[in-house]
Amino acid sequence: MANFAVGNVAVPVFVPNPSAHSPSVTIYNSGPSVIYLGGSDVTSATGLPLYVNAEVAFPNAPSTLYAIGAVSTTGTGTTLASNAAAGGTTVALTSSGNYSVGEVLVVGASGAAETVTVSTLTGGTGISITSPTRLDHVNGGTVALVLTSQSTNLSVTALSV
Amino acid sequence: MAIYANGPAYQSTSVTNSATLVFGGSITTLAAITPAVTLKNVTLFNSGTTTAFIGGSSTTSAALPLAPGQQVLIEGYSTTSGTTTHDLYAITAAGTTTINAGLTTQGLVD
Repeated sequence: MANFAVGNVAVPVFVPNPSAHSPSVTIYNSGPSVIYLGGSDVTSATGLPLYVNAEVAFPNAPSTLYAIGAVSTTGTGTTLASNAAAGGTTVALTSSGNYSVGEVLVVGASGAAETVTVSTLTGGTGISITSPTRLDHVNGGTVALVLTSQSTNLSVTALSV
Repeated sequence: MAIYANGPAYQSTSVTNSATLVFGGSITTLAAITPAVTLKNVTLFNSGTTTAFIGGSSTTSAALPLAPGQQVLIEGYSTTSGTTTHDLYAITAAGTTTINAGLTTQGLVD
């Protein structure tokens, strides 16, 4: 059994053994708040909610599963000044937002949003982020500062047969 | 774990690339139950030919994938008939599949 701390960035919690005929997994939320399960680009808006003390059991789980916690934000802090394609590490904003290095932002609208962490400020309205974006974001999309994030703990039991 | 394949809590839903309600207290047969009941521990099974993604009302293909022939048990899931709280939705990236959902346990509201 493995234990994971899950916060405001999607993290892999189960990777199936490629040589296993029938990998199975049970994921139990042992922490204090809800988490959301899905693929690599899961968000708290799109994922399957797993409530406190609940668990999901996959008798056959062929794909990698990710988890993310819920976040609350400032609302619309600023917007994107240009398209931000998936895989990029810089984001152009229409206003500075007065963000700081290390702060976590939510980029994109609900259903297509992701969290990013500011690594450097590249001028008045540009930021660099610590990891490439996973999703495409369009010019004008919302950018908001994460005020609080819920972190929780997962216990993951995997069985490969 | 088997699901109750008969009765009002069993649902078989055709799912497309638009988020579709597959289980929850607001589905028609459950919303009609009086007095309200607590619905606990749900199993979802993909009996179609296309992967479905399971999540809340804003679910997308970023949600939990459920491949054809695959099932998932959500133990600790709990909702109340007649409410939309904790409704579960599914969507496909393209095409149509069928999600069968049902309870593994059922109990009356305290």
